Amino acid sequence: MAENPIAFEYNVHLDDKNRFALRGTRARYFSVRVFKDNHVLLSPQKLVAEQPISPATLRQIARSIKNLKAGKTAGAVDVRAARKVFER
Amino acid sequence: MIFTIHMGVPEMRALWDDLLARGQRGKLSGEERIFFNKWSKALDLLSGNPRHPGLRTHEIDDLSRKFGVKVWQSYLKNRKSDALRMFWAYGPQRHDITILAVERHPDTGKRKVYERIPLSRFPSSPSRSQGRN
Repeated sequence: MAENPIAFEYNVHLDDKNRFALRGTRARYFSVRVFKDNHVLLSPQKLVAEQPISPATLRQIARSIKNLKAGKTAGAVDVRAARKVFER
Repeated sequence: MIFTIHMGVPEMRALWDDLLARGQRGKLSGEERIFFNKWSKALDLLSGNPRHPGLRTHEIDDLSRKFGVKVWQSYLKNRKSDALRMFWAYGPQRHDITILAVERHPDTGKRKVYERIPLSRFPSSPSRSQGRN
């Protein structure tokens, strides 16, 4: 990995509600990882648009819901039987 | 709490029965086998805990409003740009889940909801290396 220079660093302490002010970052969203040795890593994230649902999938959903509301179901499926296909 | 998985009719039930029957006979193509493996794993997680973090389940408000039934989305695949999704609703009875639709082929070029920005290596802080806080 390339070297990531430190822009600046500072010390903080948590207030009574376990908060501290985060300064000097342009990101608004972070994923947080807390390590067992008490290091906390904040990784910047960005929101991106979720992929739209295709017309074919929407039609499937509509038909399934229509039948579900009409009480038309095909009975329970055996998920374990499907998992056994891949256990060989 | 364990949920019983039902397949929506007609497409989902037909797809499931076809993949299961051919899978048990060893007649799935490579791509079908990968898809069916991921789908059945996701269903296994869903039946045990619809809120399992690996599924990234969330409600699709627009569809819930449109159909008058809470429609949920869960991912079959994670951490890849070609995430596959399934859509489901609670019912017909209590502790039942009905699979309404599943995307078998990812939309190429689309991205996940959150993208992680790659990290670089962090240098050690000079003040810390000298023993000061």
